[in-house]
Amino acid sequence: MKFLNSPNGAFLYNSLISLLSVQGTPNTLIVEAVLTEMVKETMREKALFDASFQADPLQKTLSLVIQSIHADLGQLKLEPNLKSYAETTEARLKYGSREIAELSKAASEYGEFWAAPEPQISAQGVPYQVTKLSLGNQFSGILGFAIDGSTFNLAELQARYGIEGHWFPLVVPVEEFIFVVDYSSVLVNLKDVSPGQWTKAKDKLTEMMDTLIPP
Amino acid sequence: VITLSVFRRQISLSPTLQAVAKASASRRGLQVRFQQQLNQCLVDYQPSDTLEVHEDLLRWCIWQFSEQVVFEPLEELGIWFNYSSGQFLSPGYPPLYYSRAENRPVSPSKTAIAGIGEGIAGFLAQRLYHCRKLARPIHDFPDVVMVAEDAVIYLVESKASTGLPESLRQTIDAEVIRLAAYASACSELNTRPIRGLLVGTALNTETEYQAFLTEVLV
Repeated sequence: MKFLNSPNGAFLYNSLISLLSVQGTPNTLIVEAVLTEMVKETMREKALFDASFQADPLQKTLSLVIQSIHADLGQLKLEPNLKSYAETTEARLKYGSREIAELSKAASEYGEFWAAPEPQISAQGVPYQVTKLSLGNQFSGILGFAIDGSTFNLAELQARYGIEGHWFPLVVPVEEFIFVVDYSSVLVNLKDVSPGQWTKAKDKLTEMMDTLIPP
Repeated sequence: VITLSVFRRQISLSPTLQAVAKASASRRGLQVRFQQQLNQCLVDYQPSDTLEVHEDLLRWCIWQFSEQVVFEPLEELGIWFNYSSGQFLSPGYPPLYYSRAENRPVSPSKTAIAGIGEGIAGFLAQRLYHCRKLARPIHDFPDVVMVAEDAVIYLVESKASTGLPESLRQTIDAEVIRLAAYASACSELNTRPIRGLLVGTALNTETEYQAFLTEVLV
């Protein structure tokens, strides 16, 4: 499965396939939790990007994810019975999916306020997205994230920026900006800087994305 | 920047204690027995790390790990500390003043505190245990399911409070039963190794937190 708007989607999907690939004892409770998260993440993305998912997003997303899992596991000659997992996911996301359906309709009506992420490719050929993010009065900035499961090269980040943290999430100060770097994403808060500084911050973020390594 | 002092301890459950833990989920009498046996395993927390947490980093973690869309929880907590230290001397801290019951004390926003606690729990699970989020269940237990680099699955549960750290530690001791029972059940139903991680966060002031970590090994 491919994602357009999730820094964690590809990692989740690959983890799910790995958990379901085990012969013998199924990873029951963990698979239930991860499948539900996977469907929730996919549902959020589909409801934003694909108008056909706005009505009944849960059933459509669940069907899409289950089909994709069967296709990938079929290549490994595995045919797991996912019926009970699907039923659990459906029950757990029943109310959340209604909320997502209502919010996606609102996003359509107020579409001018929502900017689609801007697709980019790093110097190493890693695809990523850049989007503006605004939450409350305390955060207004830029978020960049890989969409194929690529993660940041910690050693390169440490060498290039002289940071002290030993693991994600990290704070990386670059000139007047504070970047927060997680496994596959980086964000910078620009609430207190002048509009002219946004371009400079985006350039610094673009440089940082060059330290992503493919999965 | 917030200073986060981390204290850690580990509890290793024997096969017998795991069996009692699972059975105690349905038998009240066994809960008492399990609590008594567990108390004998509970060791003291040891000081572990002191971390500097930038507010933007904590906000990111709250967005990633909180169950709810929490509106400016750090600012909400700041208002609470101002109010509770008597800087306003004016009554009327939310929720609505006229809906307050006779004997109900004024308390800080549970939404903000829970959100910050979940953010800290996720942050520490990543930073100290090299975990990555697999699931953030809605209306379910535990708060977060994570996987470490060595494929160990971590079941992370968060508790947070602005009260005294001693009181929080008692809450954590009571919660260990629930997490131990669940981790034991998960361990039998999964091929991956499972661990429980209970993170209690004491929000002492706007800029000083303490985190008490209990790792449950099954």
